[in-house]
Amino acid sequence: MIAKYYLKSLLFDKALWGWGVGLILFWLFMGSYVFGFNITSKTESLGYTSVWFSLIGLISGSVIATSVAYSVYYANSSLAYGFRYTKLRPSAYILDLMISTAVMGVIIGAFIIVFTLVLFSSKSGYLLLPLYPELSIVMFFVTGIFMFLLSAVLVIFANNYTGLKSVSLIVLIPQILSYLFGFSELGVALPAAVVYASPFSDIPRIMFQTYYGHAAPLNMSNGSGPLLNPLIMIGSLIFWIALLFAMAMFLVRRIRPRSIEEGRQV
Amino acid sequence: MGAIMIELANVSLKYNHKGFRSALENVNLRIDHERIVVVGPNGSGKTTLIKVLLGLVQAERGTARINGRDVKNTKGDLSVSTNMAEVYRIMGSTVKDTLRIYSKLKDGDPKEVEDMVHEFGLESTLEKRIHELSSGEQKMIGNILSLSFSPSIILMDEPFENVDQARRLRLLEIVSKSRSEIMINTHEFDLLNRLEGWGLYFIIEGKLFGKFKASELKNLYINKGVMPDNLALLDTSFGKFSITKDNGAVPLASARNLNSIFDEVA
Repeated sequence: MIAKYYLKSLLFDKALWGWGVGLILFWLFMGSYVFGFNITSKTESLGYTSVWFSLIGLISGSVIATSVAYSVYYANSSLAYGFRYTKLRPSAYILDLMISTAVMGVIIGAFIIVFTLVLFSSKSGYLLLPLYPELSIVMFFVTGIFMFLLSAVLVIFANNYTGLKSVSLIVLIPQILSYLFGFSELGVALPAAVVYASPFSDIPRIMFQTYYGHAAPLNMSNGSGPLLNPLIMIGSLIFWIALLFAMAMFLVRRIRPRSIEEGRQV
Repeated sequence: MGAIMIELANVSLKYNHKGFRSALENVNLRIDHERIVVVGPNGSGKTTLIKVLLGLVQAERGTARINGRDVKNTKGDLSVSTNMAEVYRIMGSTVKDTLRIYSKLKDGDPKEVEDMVHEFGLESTLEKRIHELSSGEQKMIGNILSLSFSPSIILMDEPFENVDQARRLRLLEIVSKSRSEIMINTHEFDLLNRLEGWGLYFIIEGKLFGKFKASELKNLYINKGVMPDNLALLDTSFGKFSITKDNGAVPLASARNLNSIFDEVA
């Protein structure tokens, strides 16, 4: 019912484009031109590119999620009113925003694919095309769903049960976790159980596979360790999405109208 | 016999601000097929009264019912509308999209609301986002949305505040001709004489006094202290005041708002 309007508001969100696409370009430039890219073979170049692609894919989802989280927070009174005195249903609100965010994730994902291809190819001298771009697009969609649900759960929980002072920090949690997991994995090898259980590890590894064409290794920093089973990671991601969806539904039905002005003052 | 359209029974609540008295104190109000205006100084509890009815603030004691249903349990009741801007922040859309979203959510025709925007000469606001509008424009968009889609109950909080004279007269005309049951909160007196047939209440420090007739305002006087022939005794933290009819210290009609008249009579 409101999905197309929400997607439109995201498409014209200057802050999202500035932080979203701007930040993506910055990190992709850093990955391709500033950090070490001393690899000689095309396969190694593709592997290096895929690691950066997967990392940026994860971060981009979290950046969209932050924008969406603010939107959900600012709508708290509108939702409390809307569920009582309009046709809006909690399930429709969550589903519509989830789909819009996922589509926005795909749009920004398309930019990421293009920028990755152009920047890394120009630096390495090889044409580093993604092996399965259509699956990359699907993953951007799924990442959008996951990040929206995580943000919605966090921000609605904060709105309903905590002081408003915490909201500005809580909306950043998906980004903080993305940076923490994403960059730490470039230097630290996590145990397989943690990687399988953590959506912040599953997402970049599945994205890696869609670009590189082969399963991701346990250790992303140097490509060592056993190759991970993508089906288990997909299963883990589906579990997290289902869990977060149930939590989002539970919380949004109990949305507590809060004064935005009060939130600005604290 | 149908349910009472608006009913507040022993409603009380306090805000947790320093030095703040009760926001509402044992408020009882029954409105059925009539229109009322609630007049009170700034901070007297007028807005809280409407927020309780909209479910945006929960009473600590007592119940608020609309159409016989406790507002806490109300879902999808399209008969109620309001002009409060905070309920129209469902997303950061333009005014045009916000009008269309609420047309859908209220099962209405977007043309109806867009025509009213043109009637009030607010076309220039359509491509702006709600937060980019002046406070008067925001108020008018809220007023227009509250009056659209044939609601049977309209709750209007300070509908004339920051609205220019030409628009407030036109607004008053539309409000007067509306067939809906309307509750208007205001701190301004100057337009009350035009509300022929409307009920009039005063609200001071969260206590509701009335009912009077808005058209009788020209015959009402306010006096410091307890007068033997008073119609109502306003017991406030800054003294007791009596409202009398036909003679007294200060005619209510001479005041532009209730904030100033207490200074004058004291």
